[in-house]
Amino acid sequence: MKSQPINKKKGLGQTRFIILMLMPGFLLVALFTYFPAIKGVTMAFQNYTLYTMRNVKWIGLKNFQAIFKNREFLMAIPNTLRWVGFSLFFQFVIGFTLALFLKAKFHGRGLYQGSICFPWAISGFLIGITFKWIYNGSYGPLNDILIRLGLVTRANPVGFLSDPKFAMPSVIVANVWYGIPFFVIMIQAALQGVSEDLYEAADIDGASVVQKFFNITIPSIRSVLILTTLLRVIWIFNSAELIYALTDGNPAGRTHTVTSKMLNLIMSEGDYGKASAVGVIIIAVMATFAAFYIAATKFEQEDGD
Amino acid sequence: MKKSGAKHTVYLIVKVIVLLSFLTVVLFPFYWLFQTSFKTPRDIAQFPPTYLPNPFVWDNYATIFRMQNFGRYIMNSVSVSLVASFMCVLIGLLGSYVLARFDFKGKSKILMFYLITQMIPGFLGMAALYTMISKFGMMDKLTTLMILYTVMLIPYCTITLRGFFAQVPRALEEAAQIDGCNRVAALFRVILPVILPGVSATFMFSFVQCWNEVFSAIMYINRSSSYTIPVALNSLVLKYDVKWGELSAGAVISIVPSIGMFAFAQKYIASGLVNGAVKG
Amino acid sequence: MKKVLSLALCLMMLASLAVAAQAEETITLYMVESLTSPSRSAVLQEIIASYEADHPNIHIELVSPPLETADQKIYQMLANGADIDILEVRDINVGMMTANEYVIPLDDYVANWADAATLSDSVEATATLVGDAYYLIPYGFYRKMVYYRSDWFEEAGLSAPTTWEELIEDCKLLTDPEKGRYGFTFRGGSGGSGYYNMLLLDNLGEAALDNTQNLILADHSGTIYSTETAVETLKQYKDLYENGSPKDSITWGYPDQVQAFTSGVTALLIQDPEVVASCEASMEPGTWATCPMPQGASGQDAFFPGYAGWGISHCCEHPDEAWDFIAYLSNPENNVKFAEVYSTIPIHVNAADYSEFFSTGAFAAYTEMDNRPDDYFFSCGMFKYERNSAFGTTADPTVQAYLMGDYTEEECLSILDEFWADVIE
Repeated sequence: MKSQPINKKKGLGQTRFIILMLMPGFLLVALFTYFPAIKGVTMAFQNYTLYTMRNVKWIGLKNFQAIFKNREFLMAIPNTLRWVGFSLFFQFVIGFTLALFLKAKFHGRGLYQGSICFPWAISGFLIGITFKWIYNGSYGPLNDILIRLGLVTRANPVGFLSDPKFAMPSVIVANVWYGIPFFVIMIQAALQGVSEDLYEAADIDGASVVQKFFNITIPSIRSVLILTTLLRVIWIFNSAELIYALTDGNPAGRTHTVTSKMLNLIMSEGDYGKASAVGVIIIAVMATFAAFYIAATKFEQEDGD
Repeated sequence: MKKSGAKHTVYLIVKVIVLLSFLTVVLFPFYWLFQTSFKTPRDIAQFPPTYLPNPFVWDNYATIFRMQNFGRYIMNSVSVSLVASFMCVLIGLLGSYVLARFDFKGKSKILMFYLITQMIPGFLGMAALYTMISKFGMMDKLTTLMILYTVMLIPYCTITLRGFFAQVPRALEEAAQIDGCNRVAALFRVILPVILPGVSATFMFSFVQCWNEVFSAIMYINRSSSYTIPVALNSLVLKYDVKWGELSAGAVISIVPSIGMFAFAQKYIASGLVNGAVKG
Repeated sequence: MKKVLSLALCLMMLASLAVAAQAEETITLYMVESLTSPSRSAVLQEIIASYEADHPNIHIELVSPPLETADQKIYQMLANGADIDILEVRDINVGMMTANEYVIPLDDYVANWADAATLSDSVEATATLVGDAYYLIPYGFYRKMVYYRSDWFEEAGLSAPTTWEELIEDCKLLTDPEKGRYGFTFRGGSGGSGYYNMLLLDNLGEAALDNTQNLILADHSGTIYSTETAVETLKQYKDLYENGSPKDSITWGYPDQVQAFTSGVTALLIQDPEVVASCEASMEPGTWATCPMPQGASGQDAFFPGYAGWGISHCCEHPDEAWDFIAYLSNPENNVKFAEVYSTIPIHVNAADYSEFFSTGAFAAYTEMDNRPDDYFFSCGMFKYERNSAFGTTADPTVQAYLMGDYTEEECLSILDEFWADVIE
């Protein structure tokens, strides 16, 4: 059904109502997020480094030029696509599967749900250093377990974070591990909103499980899926603390994403100007993506059936 | 309506295997931290690693409560996270309701306005925000963290709740309005119960985000009596060493309140109130 | 909007002035740490408490942000110019602090400081290296020494290595992958290129180097990376990695090194004195020992003590009081107390009068190195150059890429050489 104003008569009162409801969020975000960030964007066009904090000069696009000559930044671009693509795919698929499994009540469901939320309970930085220990290629427990299982030998442990073949996948696995609870909870909550009546009607028509899934489940939770997935893409793209804690780009820049390279520019080099330039590029790319995504999913046109 | 016996059994077996193997993977890092928290430094440094503490000691817990004022940090974290997540969900509800239910010019621009905030790297606004907080006299106050966390989560809450609102049939509130409810009352009395699973999930996620936030908590808090848990935990990562025993003890303790939070929110997430409401 | 804001600001400033006037008797000094550790903060609190007992009009508020974000916070505080009076200044950021005039020179204070008489040579050499004045009073030094598994060495019939050549051979000998044991605790990750520099400087020797910029040759014909020795050293370094170190160590940083050594994965570690505390906590007594740094092909070893200390910020309104406390904190008694807990080399030559800690046990290696001045030469860092802050992020991945086979010796060295090319005149 097409979106329609509920009450056309009260035109002016309605405008006031809309503004009033949107105002608190809008003002707070404008003041505490946009105002400082817009001031921050200017750093991208300045030689803003630790050494020039009190003597900042405008340098036009030089930071951007320097960024595109940086070997690690260029290596980070394909990495970023892998990081976002694989993380999202596995988080979504595993999260969705679990949410479906958890839809029906069973003994211990509550306990199970509580347990799989554990990754949420500690910060990304802590997750990062814990995984760093677990993954370690000589004293880490994961290798020890594999050795005990006879899958690898003590003499040739897996360099989860040091072997170029394994480093990026290992980092992605940690990120998937960290992000699954989000999808489980969100999708589960959305599934609760699907009316049982629809399934019952479909059962009477003799629909198969697959048909029910694609004809009822997916359309009913479509709006939640579209929005959570979009948010998630942006978050995964923007999350650097896990990589920072796990590898900080090692070995030889092979695990940097664009965002973690930006964090590295700040933490190791104190180059706020170049980091802001990367930040501006990220915002531009993400905003374009979001605009296309919203248009492609025709999200705004079909609301609330 | 029942599936054929054999097929159903296969489904059940697959389900149990998937659920259990996933649980193992999820819990292993926590088991690792948990058993580490009862180990002595020498035991932690065993190679090959051991999987049970020997000897079993409480020293790490004693240390963090004695040397670090851990009880206080838990109180700080709980109050900041509760207030902020309540505020952001409330503000998010108001905004997302009109975004989902009304047609007006600039609607998609507001969605973009919120989405873009999620793309802005945190450090970009750091300098200006620091100056602002300092000039406003908001330095070193837990209230500041509450405000900043609320702001941090308003976009997420608004966007997500908007998705949940879209699931609710319009007929529901039209009926309520005919009954004489005004719009705000209709929102809180009629629609809110229907999307309670979504609101709980949003609240839970917001709570966890606040619970784990560390950057602002370090930047805008000076006195150690106002530290939150993640700040205290980060202090145990030294230049040359990680205080694994104490860090894992702190991590174990910091998990407990959020697990309580999950248990509480889970009840509502799985509540399935919607069916009754729509039918009724 | 602007008017309202500025009005609010004026009101707030008036209010804060009123508060300040009221509390004139007590002066609050904010002291901000950077290399925070809980046990270290506890010692500082203890010293602060005893100082405050003698000076009832002074209150010192210790701010201890966690290490990872501490410097970022300090920079914001300094840029903002408030709530920071005394701060921890590090070797890696003293250049940034002086370039921005964030810290004030302390020469006049030092000139009138009674305890200055017993300061060790390293204090002046390091503290005035950047900016040609005292911008900080170091609280201690981090100088590298060798930690080794004395039990494994004994078992293999080896004695502690005295040269790099011996060290590399010993490490290869002690490497036994079947047992998961390796010789050298290699550091290929963050800060890893520093070990290559160390070996290169030791191979080149004091005479070959410019004595004010140690990455430049004495005759200013180029950087140390342009030499034939640099190529040979790189091969030597790769040999050590490939045949005497865990493969995984290509990505290790400082904490990974310590964990590997204390876990009994590796036999030998070259690190700062802080590690003594970790070894004592995590290892059986009698299984480990320390010894002086090995000499390179030149017969010498270059040492550059890492340092950090206390400075006074540009926005401090009571510098005299702040100095008085720094002087108290840096007197021999308190400095020794601090250095013992934090495991750094103390700044006063008479430290041994206050504690046996620094002349016995693991620290004895330092005394031995001090007694052989011909074998160890002081080499200054490149800290005074602004770009030094970016050298690590260029050099670490470059050397790492070489070790992994991405670069040849020549490619690797040309990148390092070019980084400093225009510093040579």
